[in-house]
Amino acid sequence: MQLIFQQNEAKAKFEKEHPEAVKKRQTQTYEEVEKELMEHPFFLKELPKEGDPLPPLLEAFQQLKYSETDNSAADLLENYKQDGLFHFKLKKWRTSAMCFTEGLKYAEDSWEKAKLYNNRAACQFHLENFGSSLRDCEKALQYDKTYAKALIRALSCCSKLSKWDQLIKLHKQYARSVEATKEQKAEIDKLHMQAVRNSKFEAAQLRKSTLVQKLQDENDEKIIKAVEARGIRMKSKKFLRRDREASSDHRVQITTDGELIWPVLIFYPHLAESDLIKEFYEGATFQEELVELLEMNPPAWDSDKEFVIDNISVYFTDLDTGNYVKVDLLTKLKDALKHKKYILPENGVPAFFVMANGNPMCEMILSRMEDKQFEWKQ
Amino acid sequence: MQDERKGRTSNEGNTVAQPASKELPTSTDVRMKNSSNKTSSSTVGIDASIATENAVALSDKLKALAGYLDLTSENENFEDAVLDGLIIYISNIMTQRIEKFAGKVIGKKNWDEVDITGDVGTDVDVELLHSFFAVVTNFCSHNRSAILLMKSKELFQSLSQFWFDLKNKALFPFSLPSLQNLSTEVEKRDVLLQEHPSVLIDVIQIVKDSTEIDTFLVPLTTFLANMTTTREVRRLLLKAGENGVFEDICKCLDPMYPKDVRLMVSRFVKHMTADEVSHWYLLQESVNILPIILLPLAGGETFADDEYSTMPVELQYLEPTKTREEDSEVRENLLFALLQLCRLKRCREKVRDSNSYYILRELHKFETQESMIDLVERIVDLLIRTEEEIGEKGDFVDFQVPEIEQWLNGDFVYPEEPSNMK
Repeated sequence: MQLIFQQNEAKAKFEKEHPEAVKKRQTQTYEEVEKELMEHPFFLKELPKEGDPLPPLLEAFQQLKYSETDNSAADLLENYKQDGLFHFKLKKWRTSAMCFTEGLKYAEDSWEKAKLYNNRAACQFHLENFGSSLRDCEKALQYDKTYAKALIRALSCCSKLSKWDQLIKLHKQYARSVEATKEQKAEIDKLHMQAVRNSKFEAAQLRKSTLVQKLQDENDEKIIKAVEARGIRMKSKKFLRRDREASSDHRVQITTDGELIWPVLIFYPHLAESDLIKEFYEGATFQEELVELLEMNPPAWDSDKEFVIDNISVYFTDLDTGNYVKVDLLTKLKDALKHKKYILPENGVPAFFVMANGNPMCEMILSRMEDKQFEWKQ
Repeated sequence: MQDERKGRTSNEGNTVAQPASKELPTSTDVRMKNSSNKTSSSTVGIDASIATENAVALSDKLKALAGYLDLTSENENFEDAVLDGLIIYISNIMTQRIEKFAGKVIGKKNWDEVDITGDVGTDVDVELLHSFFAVVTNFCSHNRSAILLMKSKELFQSLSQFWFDLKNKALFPFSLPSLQNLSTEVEKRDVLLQEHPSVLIDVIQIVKDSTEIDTFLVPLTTFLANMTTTREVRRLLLKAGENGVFEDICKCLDPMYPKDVRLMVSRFVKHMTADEVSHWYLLQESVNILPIILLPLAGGETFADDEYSTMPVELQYLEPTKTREEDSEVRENLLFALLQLCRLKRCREKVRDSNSYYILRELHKFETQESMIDLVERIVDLLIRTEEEIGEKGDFVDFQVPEIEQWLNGDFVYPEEPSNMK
């Protein structure tokens, strides 16, 4: 009875204060009432979209929990915190993070701030945003340097990001001040050890690559000096530049005795075929190498067997005139290379042309040569 | 075979454990020399009005007192009453004058930055500070007085802030010699261990946080070197030490650090290998003593990839420009430590597997002194032989070596010879 009486009194008071509401009730159509009802959360078929004005009832509910004017900072903090934890349990990491972010606006106590940052860091960690998680952990530790969980998570983030130096730095800063259980301490030490191990390993790898690089550079210098000493003309001194794609087959080498070993391309221009002699010692003759190339492994395209040692001639292109210069088969490679008309190409791989005597296509190419109409591109 | 036996019975591992003062000259007490009047205790004028006394006058009094303490080299000369009186006197000055001064020193990196002008309640003078710590230092050099100081908890606490608080860094050159003096005799070490075991950890923490330009590292590392001549200290250090604490101390072996610091740290390393029980543990990753020993001994030689593969990662692919440790005593201490580590079979195997031989081979070419060459050869000899060649008794010790935990927990009593154990 009492309750109904109070309700009636409240109703009377409301009607007195808000006559327009009373009028609205009296003049509303059925459709209008229905519409209003459908906006009630109980009857909503779908959530209101972002940006849409909320139905007044919903907005009222919202205000109840989240309004700054109606709630104290402490209440809001608690509300957001609980929301955050709620969503966390449901594995809604983003929503949870948002709640904690809101909560941070109202947190004043260092300890509260630390907790919220730590919680948000946990959300970020699950979202694999290790950078953001790390930042939040560091903030948490700033506000509470005894926070063991925050330190462990911070170190884990550093580990995931392979930031060993930062991990070691954080450990140095906070390992003594955190209050950790035995298991937590063990975890912290384990992460630290791993980081120390990895950073030392990386340092050693760096030293190794520096050393290797240095040795390679020294070797390159030696080669260039040797090439210069032999009087070989070079298109460019940079032919040894380290090209990741270039295989070692295509680089000139120097032996411990100072002898050069060249990769040499052999072209058969009439068919646009080529062969590569991987290691042509500079002291070897064309005769020796071509015998091995052509007779030990006869080329498949030479069905007429024209390309035999007694029947071939070797040429190189004079880059200045475009003419072919003949090279005697008994010439050693090093002598051919230092020929006054020979220029070592840009890629550092000497190329020579082999023609068969009597072969019509070869004859044609050679005759064109004399007309200086044909230019070889290397 | 005969050589091995000889090596064992000469008890090398244990000579290390002798009290520092016998074999290590620099561990003798630091004394604040004072050329002023040689007065007896009665004329020093101990009175209670220190708070109001003029700083200059007090400073003079203290200087005289320091001078007196310096002269009397045998502690038997003091009567008990005199000692007690002195302790109270020192405590009073500490709390009434010196502690207030500490506030001015906080945060300053060196003495030049300290503002010594102005009033701090009563005016404190630089001279006063010097004189005061001179008294404390000389007081600590005598056994009886030092022990008395260590037993008075409050005074020790007050002094601790001048030893261990990095904020008072500017005062370290004055205050730390007294700490160093507390470590020079076995009686003092034992009392220090008993009354204030945390001092060890505090010292290590400062060494950890220091940089190469900090001159206060000299007394601190000397302290550590002295303290570790006592077995109990070594046990406590290993028990309480965190992972990587050795590496933090031994960073001081880097050539950037002054020679005295490197020397003391090398002695520290040598002492720590005195207990066979700890050897296996020292070689584990958490302590990682092997690269600590080998890095200063390595020059910039390059080895083959397969030779590097089993070496500790800190030693791999060192720059050709790396220089060896130049001081021969430092090298000697490190080599001695390495020799100790080769006493037990499994430790020797670990050292052998780490390809330390290559480093030693290069070192052998570098050494010119016969004693050094001899030392290197002894280690190399143990490494190049196989375990079969060395024989059945792989461990060069007389007792059964237990696991480290037993010793750290106090369940194992080291079969001892005389000297420093209590």
